[in-house]
Amino acid sequence: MLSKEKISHIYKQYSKEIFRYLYKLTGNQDSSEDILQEVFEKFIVYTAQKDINVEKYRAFLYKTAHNEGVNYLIKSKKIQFNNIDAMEDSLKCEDTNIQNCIAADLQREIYRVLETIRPETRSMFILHKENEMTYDEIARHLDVSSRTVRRRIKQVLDLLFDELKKEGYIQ
Amino acid sequence: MGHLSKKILIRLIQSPEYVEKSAFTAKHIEKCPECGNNFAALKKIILPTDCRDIKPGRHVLKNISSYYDKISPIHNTAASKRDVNLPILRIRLAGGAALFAAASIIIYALYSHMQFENAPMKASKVRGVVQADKNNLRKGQSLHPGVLLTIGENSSLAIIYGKIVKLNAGPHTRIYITKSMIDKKTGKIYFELTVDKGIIIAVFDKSGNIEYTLKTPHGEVSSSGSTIAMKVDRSKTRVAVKDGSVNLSSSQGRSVSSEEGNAYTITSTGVTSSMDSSDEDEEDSSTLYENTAKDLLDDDPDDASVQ
Repeated sequence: MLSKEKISHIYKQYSKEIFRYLYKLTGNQDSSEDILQEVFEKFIVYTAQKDINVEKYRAFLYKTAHNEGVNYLIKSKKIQFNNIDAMEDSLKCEDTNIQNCIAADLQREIYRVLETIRPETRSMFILHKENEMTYDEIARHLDVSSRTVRRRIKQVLDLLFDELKKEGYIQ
Repeated sequence: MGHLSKKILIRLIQSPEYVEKSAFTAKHIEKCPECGNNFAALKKIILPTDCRDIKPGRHVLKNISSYYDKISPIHNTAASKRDVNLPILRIRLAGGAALFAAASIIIYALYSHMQFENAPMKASKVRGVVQADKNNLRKGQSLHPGVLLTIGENSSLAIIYGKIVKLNAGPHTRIYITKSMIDKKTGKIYFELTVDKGIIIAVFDKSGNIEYTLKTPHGEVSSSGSTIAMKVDRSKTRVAVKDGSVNLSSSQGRSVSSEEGNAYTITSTGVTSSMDSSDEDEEDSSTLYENTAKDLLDDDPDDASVQ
């Protein structure tokens, strides 16, 4: 079993990026914190039972976060629109620069569209967009093929293109 | 001039190297404001939002820390239990292996029992005092494997198996029947007898359906059909091969294939032919066989034949 200090060190190393991903996935601070806690609890139990390579810590955390996040989205399907309000709050434009306000509006629109797609696909897209992971990285972390990741993200881009065209962001 | 399709724009987003490869596309994006704007808007889709301030509350780490404290004793105990249980696990594994071996032996024994059937010999002539184990042997009595035959002074015994085996034993001979069985699949009959001491004349039919082994304290004689005379005393075993082929081996494992009409001496150190022997007292094959036959078969010349 890993020591408490080691767990704390790993938490400090990875918690921010995983939390950011979870927050963008769920759109809710409290739920993201709960999921993050569950992810690390699972990590503690898993490493107590099996030895995993240090290099695989990040992948394990991301994969667990993805699974937990997707499960959360499936369970809370009915209250997704509450989440989007929280997301909107975070994207609220308080900037006086009009360009920045348009950019914030665009992001809000993107998240509104993301609410309508499959949780697994949304998760992959957010890993690419917010955590700036390459397709290969996502594939490695989620144990899927790189081709699958590319195809899923293309579907999202297709959908977003159409929706943003409707809203006038794209001509 | 047309505009770049959605497919191309998405391809540009997904594979930036495509822009470098396709000079036309790159030039078009530069020149066409509409396509340039669309490309820029699409690019923004995959740009990360500014979320530097987003971070988990401090209570998360505290909760994880208390969870660690809660489960670490359980896991440490479980780990130590695993260590303690290791010898028990080994004993269980050994027990399992022993059970498996026992089951295999039982299955093999059952299979052998089904394949082989006892082929008991019969006492065809009993003269004087002959004991089967501790009881007196009677003429016509069946002799199953495991029986010890002891022939007394001035006594003799003839045992047969159908018309294919006949064995005459003289006074002071002791024979232990180890094996007497028939293979139900092939029809082959196997005999194994231990002759501790004494003299015998054995006739095993040469039809090829028999395999026999006569063991003595000095070695063993095996064949699949032959007529032999054998004298066993303390120091050696003398064997005269009247006909057939016999394999003789000493207890040290040295073996010799017999020649018909030759006599051999088996000692614990080796097997020698009477032709090689320098001992002038040693009888040659015909003398040994005839003397033995005379001792055993004097009152019934037909005893030397199984027919």
